[in-house]
Amino acid sequence: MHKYLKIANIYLDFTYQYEAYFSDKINEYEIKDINHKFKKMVVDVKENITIPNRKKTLIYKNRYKMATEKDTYIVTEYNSGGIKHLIYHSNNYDYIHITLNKKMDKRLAEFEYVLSGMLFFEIAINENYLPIHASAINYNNSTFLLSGPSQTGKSTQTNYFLKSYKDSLIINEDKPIIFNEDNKWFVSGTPWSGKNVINTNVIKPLNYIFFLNQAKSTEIVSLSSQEKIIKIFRNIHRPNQEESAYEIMNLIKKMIDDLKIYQFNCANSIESAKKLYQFMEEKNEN
Amino acid sequence: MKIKKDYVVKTIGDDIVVVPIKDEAVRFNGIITLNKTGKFLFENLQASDLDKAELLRLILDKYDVSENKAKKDIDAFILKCKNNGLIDEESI
Repeated sequence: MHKYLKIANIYLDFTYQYEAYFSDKINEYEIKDINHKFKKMVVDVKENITIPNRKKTLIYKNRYKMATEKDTYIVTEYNSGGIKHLIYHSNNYDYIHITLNKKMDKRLAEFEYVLSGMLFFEIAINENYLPIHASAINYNNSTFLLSGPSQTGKSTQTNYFLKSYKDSLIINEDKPIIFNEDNKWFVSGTPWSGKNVINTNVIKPLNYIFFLNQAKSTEIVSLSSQEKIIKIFRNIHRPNQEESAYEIMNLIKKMIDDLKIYQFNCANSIESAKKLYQFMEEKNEN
Repeated sequence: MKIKKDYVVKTIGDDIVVVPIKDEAVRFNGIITLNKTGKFLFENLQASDLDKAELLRLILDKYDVSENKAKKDIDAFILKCKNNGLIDEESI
């Protein structure tokens, strides 16, 4: 499959192999007008993956990197030996090529989805977007993120909210991107949204971030600026380049200044969604 | 001892944070917060290979603190760096 996509204001020329995870949701991001500067990402599958003869610049567990000033290869091996997948990218992420080993068989679609997502988030960071591990929901006048690592209840709390407020819109259930434009914060859907593939191609002004914390009773509590910084850092896709790290820290400062950020201690109950909505309504009135 | 080079220090409002970049970002998936003394020590140890006595002299020259307090601050700082793998092993 080959598609020209527009995700927020990022243009991506994307070639991929499997529809299983992207499903027809990816079509929402497709554009016909190709007179833009596109980043290019290609995924292919091979029986034998050839590795270029280059110096290894980092070895970490079953992965190694071969980086020059211009571009980077990242090789992941099977524990039993042999190449599992190979990623090539120019260091400005204008061109990305992911090669998967055919041996992965039933897991090829899943790896395509996860790896292409990871690389897209690198593109996004370079373009000053912040990918964040969260479920992004819009309802009435509020758009908010329920953020937290896997297994903290993002999907559960999202479902409770959706059941309680049927007109809610899930922008992205796992990894939306947020950005600042003209001193306002926005959240955008992306085609990468975790195992449930729930995403919508919309951009909405962002008002709240709630960091999830499973608890016996539901309560929304304030956070110190240091706690906010730590929680934001734990839940964003990390930059690996020095310039991006500085840019992102500037963005985080702005997030803390501009956005309403709280900890959401939530019980595993539909009542938690109601309390969350009431909290936002009260804040919006003030 | 010396701090590894692939970390950046940034002040966000009143908070000071250290984050890994480049290859260190693969190894260390965290963030460290520092106070002003910690930032001062961190930046000196990123620039030069210094031992505890040299760090103590730097602190006493810069801040109006007792030697005891400065030693405690240095020990706490070094422990934090060691626990998070920030010390360049070749410099120990």
